[in-house]
Amino acid sequence: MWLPVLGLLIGLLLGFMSDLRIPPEYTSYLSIAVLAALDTLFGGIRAQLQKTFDDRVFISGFFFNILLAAGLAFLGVHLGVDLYLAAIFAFGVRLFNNIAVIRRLLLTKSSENQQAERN
Amino acid sequence: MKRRFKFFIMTMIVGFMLAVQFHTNQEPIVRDTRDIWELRNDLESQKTTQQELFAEIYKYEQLIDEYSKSGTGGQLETLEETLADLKNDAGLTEVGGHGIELTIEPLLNDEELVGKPALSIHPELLRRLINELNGYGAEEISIDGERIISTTPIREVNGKTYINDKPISPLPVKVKVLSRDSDKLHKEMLTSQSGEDFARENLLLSPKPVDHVSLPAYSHQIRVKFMKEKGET
Repeated sequence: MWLPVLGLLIGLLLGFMSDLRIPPEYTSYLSIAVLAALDTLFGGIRAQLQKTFDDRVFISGFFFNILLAAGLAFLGVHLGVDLYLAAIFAFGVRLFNNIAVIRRLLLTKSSENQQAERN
Repeated sequence: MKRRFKFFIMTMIVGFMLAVQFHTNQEPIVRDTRDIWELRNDLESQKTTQQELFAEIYKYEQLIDEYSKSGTGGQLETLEETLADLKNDAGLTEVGGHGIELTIEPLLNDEELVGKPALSIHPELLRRLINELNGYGAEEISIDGERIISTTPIREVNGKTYINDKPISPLPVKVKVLSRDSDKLHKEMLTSQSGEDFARENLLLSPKPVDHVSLPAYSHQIRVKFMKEKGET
């Protein structure tokens, strides 16, 4: 449980230490990529809790989603249509869904634990 | 264990991306890069502004003093003085003094212009000229006998240029300018941008220093649209 959190902290630290900046015209791509990454991450956590986790699906989904989202944003910029909104909407909805499922799973787990303790 | 390690890598990437995104969105800190001379200059200009403000405050304090000190007759006198001052500031009185006189005339001889329509002065040219004169420290301006005040309209109607709703007379047209330092204004007008702009329209703008110019008063009613009379306090 603590390893992913540690990873997140190390990543944040590396990001802040490196003082890397993205040119302003590419910030929208990065933000959408971050959203896609977060979505995949929460999807992975949900799959882990539901015991349907598959490494290959997780890793391929992580990179493929990021690339797809950035590609969609790129296409949108060149077509003059705000296609990145589609990605934001899809990922946003899925993010909320995943988090809701994770919350329910954790709640049922804790109530099961409490019942087991009582018994 | 392997699975956890993969999760670890993923979260690290996410964290890195988040940090970079955060970094990018942070406004860079604007640093004060003025050196000592620039700071001194800025301080100097601020001090000048302060001086001017003090002078203004002093003037108004004196005015208040006069109002409160003198009797009814004196108060009336002070009020009249103030009114006269305000009328002077608004351009409702005739003024005279040191200044320059600009003449706008055709750049080329009349013979060379046979068959061409009569030249007219475009309102934009006049506006630019007024801006430039004000920039060089002109105090009062009149164009073709029309006093320029803060609300003077300069527009084009059916190909004719109107100042204060009166058509401008045919060339040559005289522009009279009142200035405290007329020599400097004259020299600046000799090499002015307006001269170039007028030349581009086949017009010659020639400045001439004059010991005494007299500017007519603004002869029309000043319409005040966006002000209201203040009630009794």
